[in-house]
Amino acid sequence: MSTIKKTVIAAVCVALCTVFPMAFHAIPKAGLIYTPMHIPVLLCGLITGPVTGFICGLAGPLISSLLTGMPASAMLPSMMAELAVYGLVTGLMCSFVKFTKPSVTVYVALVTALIAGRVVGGLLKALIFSAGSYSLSVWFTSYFVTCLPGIIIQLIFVPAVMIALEKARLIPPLESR
Amino acid sequence: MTKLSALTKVLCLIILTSAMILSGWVMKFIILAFTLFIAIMTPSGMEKTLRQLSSVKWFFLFLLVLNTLFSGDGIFTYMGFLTGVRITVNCITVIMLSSVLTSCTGAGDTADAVSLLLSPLKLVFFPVKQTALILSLSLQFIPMLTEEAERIRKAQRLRGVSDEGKGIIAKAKAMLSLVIPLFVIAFQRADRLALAMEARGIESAGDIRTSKHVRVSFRDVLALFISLLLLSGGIFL
Repeated sequence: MSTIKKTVIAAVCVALCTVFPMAFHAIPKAGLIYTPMHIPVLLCGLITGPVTGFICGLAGPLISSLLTGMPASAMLPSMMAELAVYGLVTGLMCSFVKFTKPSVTVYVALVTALIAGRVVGGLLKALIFSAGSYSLSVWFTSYFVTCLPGIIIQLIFVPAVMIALEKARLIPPLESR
Repeated sequence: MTKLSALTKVLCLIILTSAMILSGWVMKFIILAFTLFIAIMTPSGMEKTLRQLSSVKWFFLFLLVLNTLFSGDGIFTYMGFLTGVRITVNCITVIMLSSVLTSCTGAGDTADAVSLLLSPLKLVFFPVKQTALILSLSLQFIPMLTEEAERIRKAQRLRGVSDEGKGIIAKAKAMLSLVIPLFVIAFQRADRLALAMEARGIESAGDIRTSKHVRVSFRDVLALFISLLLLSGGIFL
């Protein structure tokens, strides 16, 4: 995939980071529970690689916050860091850790990225953004218990969207990347 | 506020946010009062600020209760309550500052200002031009994709797909019926745009020439001076 195509796909994923939360705002608390903003970033990392995935993770919440106010500014820095790690780790895992079955590669990359992003988000909140008022139980509740439906949805949607895009020949198959 | 350059506004936002985090109680309330003053002076700034604050009021209450219950040495302590109030005041000020910024600055100008601020990162090989191109292209895609999302949602509703079902499975099915078509359409547009750019000989973000002139006026210098004064007050007082 050429550099310019990766850049344009990353731009589309950044735009989707703004559009998805707007589309799901009709569902109460969809942002906190279903985390729609994470899906385009995870896909961007898997499809375009670690660098553009990292940029998408940084830019997506920033543009969304500037235009729609979601996420709120107080949550923006930790969310930017978390999503940037998602994009970076999915790209790195897809590039360097490959299994015989592409679906296993995708799932391993997703699970690793979801855990890494949450660890980094929690560390930043504990050390900088909410220093002195953050604990392991708060981290676990906010990142794993509240967001459990979102985690399940991401693990179902992201591979489903990748299959749809590969079948539509809009992205090259994972084995050839 | 509207006459300041976008770069000055973004810098002031960063400086005042840092000042809020580092300050004691007195400076916090001085910065909060200053922010309120700016919000009142900005046309439509106060309205947007109040709207944003009311949309996150339950989050503030949750923050206050959580900190009161768990932040101190025991459960439900005065120190925990003070911590909750401190964090809530920080959040309110940051939200007010950012909504004032977004109400009087175009998203394109803000994206250009952010790209300009990132330019020193070229030294550590951060792809600044690629980031700037991604930011400007994404702003062009947003209105088009919003329209497509609405069109897809109406089409799916005509086919009997509803997002009013209870339970995660019903909600997930409704989301899936929107997510996949939207991604396919978005990627088709991206594919066409990338082909058009490659046909014009654009192989990387560096091939696109832009001219951005930053004009610094007395107002910009004054705004930065006041922000830095508040930051130093927060650090040393």
